[in-house]
Amino acid sequence: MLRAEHPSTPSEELAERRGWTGPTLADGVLTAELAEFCQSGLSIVLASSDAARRPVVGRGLACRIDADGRIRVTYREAPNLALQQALAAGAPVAATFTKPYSHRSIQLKAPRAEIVRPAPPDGPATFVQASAFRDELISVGYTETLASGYTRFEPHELAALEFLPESAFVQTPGPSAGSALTP
Amino acid sequence: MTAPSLDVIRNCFEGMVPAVLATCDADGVPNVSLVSQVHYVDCRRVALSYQFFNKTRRNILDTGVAAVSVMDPESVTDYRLDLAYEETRSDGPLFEIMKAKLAGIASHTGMDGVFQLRGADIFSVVSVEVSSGPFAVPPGAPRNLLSAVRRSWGTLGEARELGALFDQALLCLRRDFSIGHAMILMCDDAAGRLYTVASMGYARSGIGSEIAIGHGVIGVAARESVPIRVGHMTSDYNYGAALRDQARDYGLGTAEANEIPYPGLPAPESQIAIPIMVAGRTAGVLFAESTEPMRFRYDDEDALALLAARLGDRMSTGLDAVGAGNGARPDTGAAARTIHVRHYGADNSLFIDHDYLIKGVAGAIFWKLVVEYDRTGRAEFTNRELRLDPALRLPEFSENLEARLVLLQRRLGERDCPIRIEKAGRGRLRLCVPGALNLEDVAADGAILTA
Repeated sequence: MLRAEHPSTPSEELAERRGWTGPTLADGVLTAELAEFCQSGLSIVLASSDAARRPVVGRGLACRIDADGRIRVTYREAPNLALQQALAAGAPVAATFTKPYSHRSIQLKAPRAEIVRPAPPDGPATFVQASAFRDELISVGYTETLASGYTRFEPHELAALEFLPESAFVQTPGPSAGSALTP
Repeated sequence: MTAPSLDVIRNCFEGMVPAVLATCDADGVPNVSLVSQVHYVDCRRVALSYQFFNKTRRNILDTGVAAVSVMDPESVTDYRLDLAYEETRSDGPLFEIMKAKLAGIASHTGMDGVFQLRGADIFSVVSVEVSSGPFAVPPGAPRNLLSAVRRSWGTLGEARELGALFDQALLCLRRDFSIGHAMILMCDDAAGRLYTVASMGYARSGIGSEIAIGHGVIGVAARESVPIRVGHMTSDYNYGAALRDQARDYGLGTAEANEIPYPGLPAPESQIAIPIMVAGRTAGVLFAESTEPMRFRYDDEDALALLAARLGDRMSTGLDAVGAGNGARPDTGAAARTIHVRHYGADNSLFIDHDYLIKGVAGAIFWKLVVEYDRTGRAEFTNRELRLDPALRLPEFSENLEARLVLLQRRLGERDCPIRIEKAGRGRLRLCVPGALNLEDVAADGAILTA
């Protein structure tokens, strides 16, 4: 099984953010490096809350981030109808991006998200990222059946949501996990 | 569609694929993270591992609700569960079960030392829903466990002696469950240890080898009286490896003269230890292991728990330890020689012709038999007189004597000892001594007393 020799740690992530001097997006919430990480083909999991303020869970497929730092997550619509409904009703959003190889994990939050029509580049971007994630799952020891099933989608199933993140948190397991990523 | 019962989706709870856990605070602000373990507690409850005090934890305590997505790794089916928080347990059986499993998951994912269980958060499951899948046809079950239990059940009903019962239980594991490596150990509560009375599949039987209660999957299962199961081996629970490491640390190439090496696989991946309950207390442990990861699943645990329960029930019927004719008579060629038996009072260890035989209660029993034989020529003994002998200090439960007699008889056989023990009728045994005895008793203070 292929694994990072030294898994990522929360303290490394926090130190890297504090020491970051390069360009940032979304009013400093994202570094350019974090934006690249989120678009590299990862596990993307989502949450919102329903009218009764109970949590709703969802799973995403891929992510595109524009120059302003607006996050666009594609997902299969049918399995995520409850999430889509909650977001359409104006509930806040949380999205966590995780790389299995290193356990590096980042959570982004926004007070609202918009359900949008999939754009032409969404299909190809989803295909590229889901394929990369599939390969990574296999490389860390998951079966091909699981990796393929997990990342499988039909183009007509795709839906997309968009949000401008207002905060970012390190979710990598370990001490200080959950801390806000701030300069 | 009817919501699936939790016990038919237990594959999701083996920790093979991280689950997604969503919570929100009192204002409805969500939080989402991957969790390494959602544990099946029963048909209406699951438990989550509480490892760090973080936002998720705060939200759970504040609102009492959570939602998870769990994945069956074989059919690739995604289930969404709504949960209501009940309580947190930070010790006891459920905690220990989850701790062992988490250690295996941590080891498997390169997170040794990072994943530490602080509590088992128990939730009732409010709803279960299939959100996507299945995408694959799961591989067919390699065996029918219900049928295996039924066959084993019948076989275990046939045993007439305790030793045979142990052997048949191991035979059933091989024949009906395709398990290649297994042991049965009995508890010595006074000494805080378990001792091996039967084994299968190892280069050396290891009969008489001991494990401390509370150590490894076997010791934790005995201490907590619950099945302990690990699907990816971890140093925290690998007793064999821990012993080898200790020996190396102490510069010991081989075990002490009066230690019987623990047999165990050198590199197991899966281990399962099931307590054997007799009249409501843990009398021993049924243990199996494999080099295959995730060899023992929830269903295997259920099946083996039934086998262990059958074993416990049969043990409680007061079976004699030793079968007729089991103690094969030594050949007459050995008759002329003198057999030297040395007994150390400090730990009741016994050496026959300088070879280590056994220690502890089994050693004390053997010493009583040979001393009595040497003094009076009496070769037949009743179990009752042994049980009542204050010098042996046998614990009150009957299987303690019988299991020690099984152990003793097996050690005598394995060491090719000229002295044998065999059955001499119901509740009676016979000591077979093909020659003269030369007894030497080394008292606890080191003084040598020749009997």
